[in-house]
Amino acid sequence: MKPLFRLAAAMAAVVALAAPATAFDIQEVKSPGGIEAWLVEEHGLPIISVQAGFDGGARLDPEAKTGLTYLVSTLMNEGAGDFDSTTFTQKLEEKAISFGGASDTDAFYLRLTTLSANKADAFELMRLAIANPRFDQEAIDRMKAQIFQAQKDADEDPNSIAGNAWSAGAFPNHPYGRRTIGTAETIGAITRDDIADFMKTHLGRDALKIVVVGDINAAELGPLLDTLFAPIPATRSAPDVAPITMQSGGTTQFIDRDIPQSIVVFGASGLDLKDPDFRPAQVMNYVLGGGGFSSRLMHEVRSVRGLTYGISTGLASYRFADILSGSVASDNAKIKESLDVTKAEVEKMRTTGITDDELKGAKAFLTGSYALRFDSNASIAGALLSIALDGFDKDYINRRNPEIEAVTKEQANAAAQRLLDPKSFYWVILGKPVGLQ
Amino acid sequence: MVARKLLGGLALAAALALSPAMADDTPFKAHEFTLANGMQVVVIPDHRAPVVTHQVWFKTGSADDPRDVGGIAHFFEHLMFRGTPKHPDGEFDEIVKMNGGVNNANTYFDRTVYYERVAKDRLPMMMELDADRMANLIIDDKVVTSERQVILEERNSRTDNEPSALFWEQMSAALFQASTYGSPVIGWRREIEGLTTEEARTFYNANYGPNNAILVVAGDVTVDEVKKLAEQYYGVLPARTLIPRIRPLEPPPRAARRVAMKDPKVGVPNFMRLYLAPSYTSDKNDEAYALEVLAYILSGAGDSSRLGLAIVKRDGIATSVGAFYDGGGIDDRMFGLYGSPAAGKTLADVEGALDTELAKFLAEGPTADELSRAKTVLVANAIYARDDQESMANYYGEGLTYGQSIAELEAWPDKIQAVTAEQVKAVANAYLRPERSVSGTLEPGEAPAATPAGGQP
Repeated sequence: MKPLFRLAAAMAAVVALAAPATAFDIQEVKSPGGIEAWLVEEHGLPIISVQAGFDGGARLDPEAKTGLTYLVSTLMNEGAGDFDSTTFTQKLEEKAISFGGASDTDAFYLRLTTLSANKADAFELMRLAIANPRFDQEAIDRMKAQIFQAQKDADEDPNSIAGNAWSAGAFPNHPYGRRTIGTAETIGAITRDDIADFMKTHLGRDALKIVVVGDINAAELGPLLDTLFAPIPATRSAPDVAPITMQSGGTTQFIDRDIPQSIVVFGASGLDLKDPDFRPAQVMNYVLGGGGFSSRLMHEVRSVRGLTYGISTGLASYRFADILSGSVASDNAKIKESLDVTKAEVEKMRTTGITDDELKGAKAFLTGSYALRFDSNASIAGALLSIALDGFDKDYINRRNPEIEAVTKEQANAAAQRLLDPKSFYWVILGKPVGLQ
Repeated sequence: MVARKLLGGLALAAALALSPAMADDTPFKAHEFTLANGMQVVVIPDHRAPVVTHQVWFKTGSADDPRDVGGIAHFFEHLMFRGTPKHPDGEFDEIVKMNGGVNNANTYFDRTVYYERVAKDRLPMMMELDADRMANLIIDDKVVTSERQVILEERNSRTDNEPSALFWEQMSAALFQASTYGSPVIGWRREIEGLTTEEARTFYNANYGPNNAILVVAGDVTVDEVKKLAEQYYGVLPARTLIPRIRPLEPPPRAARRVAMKDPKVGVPNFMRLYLAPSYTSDKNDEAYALEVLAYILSGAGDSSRLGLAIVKRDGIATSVGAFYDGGGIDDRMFGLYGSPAAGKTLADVEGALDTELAKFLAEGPTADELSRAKTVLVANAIYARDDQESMANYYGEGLTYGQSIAELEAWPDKIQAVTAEQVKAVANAYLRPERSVSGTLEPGEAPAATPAGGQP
């Protein structure tokens, strides 16, 4: 525990804790064809960012073709219409336009950034990429070769090995347990037809969220939404996955690896973003391991004992599963002590909860730092798209801080009891740990 | 050993204090002034969000570490978070967090930076904290001993667990034969193990004065506001007697070098070549801008750039290839090429293909289209960069600590625009020469048996 005098002194230095309001307006724009977007006008810079997110992502990949979503995301700027890969890239370069796909476990993304002076070319190239992507075999083979290499790198990277092993144990026989870049076998099995079908089945306007930030107004954006996104099917037809609860709780998996420092990945079941205990759990997690140097774990394991460079925990929500996860790395000879301290702190949090000062500190940071997420066009676009994909309305950004302010110590402690049962934690330890097996 | 003394911080600060336009608050532009104690201040207004980035840059980094005290600049960065009489150990971070701020620090070869991002009305508090630790840090055995363990774990995490990071250390050590750029920023393991409390105190007194620092504030502030606050919090700190920065200079390179490393934990074989090349600070006749354009032409658009088109798309020899220019630093830095072989191809094939394409480029130079596309993208990137106040603060803070001026930093797009095909061809021929280079291979395989004592880096 931190000495109380220290917290008290820190409190004394605090000025009025009014969390600064976000300084922008979100307009809800609807196209003539009925496609909706959130728009934040910002004319201070001659830049426009368009971010589209399709709910679905890698979780929709068939098991035998795991990595399909990721592969398609790499192909979105590899040629469209009459322009092959090289020509399409040069068209983007000639106008300094940035455009490409991306993906994660639960979404597929298309992102465009352009100078407003070049917006006509930018929108046309994005339209073409959505309406008429080429998916040339040359580009498919080249992207596959690069993914095979990324897989081989990940196969040997200690952090990737530990993280992937944890996911596989936590979500067996489920897409959340599989690596989104797939395996050599699954990427190898993907055909050009699979890729073309992806655009018709994995994407749908009913799963689409769009955020636009920058030097553009609603009158211009409305019709543009139809131009860009009308070719997308009205509904997403790929079947969705079943919800899954984290597995392997109460177990520890060891992976032998000849490295000087052991890496530990751990986790337990978390909470849905809309669960009434989510905000209390967020406050509790901040105190336990989410608050950097202000967290108990960082204080005890790093600051007091010098056992690690970093330890942290966080709440993570997939669309159909929720976890509280964490990681720590220590010299093979010291990892046992790190884990002993970590487990003791988790148990202490479960049984005795947080203090009034910790509650105050957690709320102060969580509410006060929220504005930092909205200090650039790019960060506003990214944060809003994530909120939209999570199924919240645009007023979420105004509700979020009051929800955190309302959390009581009793609620946070109840969340600790709900989440921190030692029997629900699953540990993966990679390295040559001393004294643990 | 050839050594060169750089201007002391005070002289440099005086040389740079050129901009008297205090009333000018043009957004996304840098405005500068200097406090009476020699501390430089740079303000970059951006009023889009009620947020500020507050940074203190010190003109010292790992390349200034004395030969027998490698790693001290980075080690010391850790100590700066461990408390003063007014704000005891741990309180710095607590106060920043209680005010909704995020903070950290990092050390590089030629500079060390401490920063906070916070709501704009908390700026005075951040200045109070940073000014306090610049003058009143507690340095004792207790914090030094515990941070030493943390830093050894940091080295494990960043380097010793990762063959590619160990390979990079070996490449740098071979490239820089005299310059202290050849040592890792974090230091070699045995150096970290040997750093003492007394060495930390000496380092603090010799480097952490306001006259060796640059304050950068970006975000929702005006120049006048920052001036008032900077004078109140930093202006009262006494200047320190700085030690001169003594920097070994590279001798003229005379022989191509090779590094070959194997490790069973390597996933994909990699070829890399580094060439000694001038930095933005050490160059003459704006060669750095031509090197920047050169790197973009060779690989800025990935598989659709000069190297990728030939080696990846046309010949299928490599899965990926690239080029980069690292021109950030006081002394000569580097230009690099790299690639990984496609299935059925070898590292030698990749190296051969890179050499073939390079020879062609050295003879012909860039096409007009290549040059035009490179300039368009690079110049636009300077506009895109304005979107992020922290990137803007980093750009100015880093450039100024490396000895560039604000005028120079703001002229970057114009200088890029002015680069000619002849200049690109000329810098390629001048610097991408075998005798200036280290070529390295990293591949899966058994490493040589560990040496007994001191075998760990």
